Amino acid sequence: MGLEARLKSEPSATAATTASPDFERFFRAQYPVVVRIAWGVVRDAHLAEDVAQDVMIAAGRRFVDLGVDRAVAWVRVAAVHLGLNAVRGRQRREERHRRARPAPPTPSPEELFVDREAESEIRTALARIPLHSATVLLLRHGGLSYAEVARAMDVKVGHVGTMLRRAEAALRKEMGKEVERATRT
Amino acid sequence: MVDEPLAVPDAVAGHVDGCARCRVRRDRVVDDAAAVRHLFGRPQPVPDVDRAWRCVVDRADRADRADAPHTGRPHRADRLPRMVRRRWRVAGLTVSGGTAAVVGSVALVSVAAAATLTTVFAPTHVVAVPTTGVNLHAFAAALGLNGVAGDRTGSSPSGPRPFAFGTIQWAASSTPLRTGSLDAAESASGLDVTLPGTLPSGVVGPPRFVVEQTATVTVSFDTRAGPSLAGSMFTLTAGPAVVARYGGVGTAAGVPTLAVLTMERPTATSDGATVDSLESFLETRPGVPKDLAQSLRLLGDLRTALPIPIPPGASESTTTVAGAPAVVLTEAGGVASGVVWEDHHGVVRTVAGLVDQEDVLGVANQLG
Repeated sequence: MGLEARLKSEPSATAATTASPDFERFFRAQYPVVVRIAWGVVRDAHLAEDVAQDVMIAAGRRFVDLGVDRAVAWVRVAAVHLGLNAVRGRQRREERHRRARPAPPTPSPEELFVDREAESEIRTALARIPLHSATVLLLRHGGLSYAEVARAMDVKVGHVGTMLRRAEAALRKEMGKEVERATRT
Repeated sequence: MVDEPLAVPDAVAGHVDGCARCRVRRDRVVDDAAAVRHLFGRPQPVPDVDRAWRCVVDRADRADRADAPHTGRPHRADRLPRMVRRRWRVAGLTVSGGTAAVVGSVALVSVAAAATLTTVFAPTHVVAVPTTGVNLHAFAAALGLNGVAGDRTGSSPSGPRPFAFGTIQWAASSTPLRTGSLDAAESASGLDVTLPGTLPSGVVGPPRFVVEQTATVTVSFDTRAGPSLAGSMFTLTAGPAVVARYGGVGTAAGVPTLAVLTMERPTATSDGATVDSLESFLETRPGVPKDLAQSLRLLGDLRTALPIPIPPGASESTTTVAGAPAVVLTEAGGVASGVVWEDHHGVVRTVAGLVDQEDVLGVANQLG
């Protein structure tokens, strides 16, 4: 069962948890970080907030069990997982639409907008590289320090630099392939 | 070696410099890191935490009431606020499908928005705005602001001051705290203050600190502001802030040579009106200089851009500090320089002083 399914199959968030001042403090401190990490994956501010709210609701369900420190690490990694799932879901939907409807004869102005293309390539490339590579990249570029990344991923701090370097190389390679695919089509 | 080159032992750095194979690998790693930093370097969104919190509490309440186990996607009603928000964004107020539930929710969300404060400005990055004495004066005159600033201290006994379209009220708590202790400055401000480990030549420590507490400016618009703003209120909150002041070799006591500012980013809340309506109001005032209006438009999304006014005679350029966009200012003649940026944690940092551009950037890069 994927993380997303697991999150949603567990007991509902209770109003009692969200009413706790500890959870509210946790929410206010962590929500912007979670949005930033999710945005790194989905590259869309509104979708990033959707993902972040799902993550926080799920965190509310297990907040008492996790405790604050582990909840901090948990929401950051969960943001990456749910973000990637949202990207894959969107890509599947777009693929279905593309098959169902013939492509327009000329690209729309939006499609010609280079930034948008680049955003789409980043999303696709992130979804293709190994999960731990995407996770380390998104956490680090979401503003976390090496120590915070290590805590969130449960690895030694000394390993973060190497993981990051490998992830950057993997993303670049995948971006290259993505550009080739885009040029061919 | 890429993120913290100064942490690499000399022996290792020396080997890499002398070994062709290692050098090629290092260059590739540096190249990959720069490319990926560029990909992630776009200004990031700033969520409205208040609204998100209300939404999450609301979902939890409804989930409790429904008392049903979640399988698959959340219950439709559970997702309603976000659907409403998306629809609002995509198609304004057009509610396709016409379901009573959605229409009802739009009405409820609108009423709720009108009754509560919403964060409408939470900048993620800095943007330079060239100004001149003339256009700032004309801008203030167009809004009837000249002479309004008045008493900016504390619980001003004079209360709200009128301007051409409503009232303005300043509030700032107490006088600034002056201290020589970093701990005292951090504890009074609640900020994590990072200081440079190495100072430019001619600048000496230890620094003295000035702590400014939060200040707010509340602008209330009346009917003279037109239907889109009448009755609305914007509150701009700035601070707390800590300024670390360093002295200079041979300068008189008390004359700072270098200052490092650490400040919580400013934010603004509104009780109903949007930034778009405020922006169009500002731009369409008769008498607002065209070049300034154009500069405001070029800022892009006003909710996320922190304008940095460039004083007349100063030159400006842009760079990045630890991946964040930064504005570099240099006074005519190069006597003083400064750099301003907002880091990825929403803290606005400034390094400025009677030093050259290379020195301020050298200090800025130590703060990250």
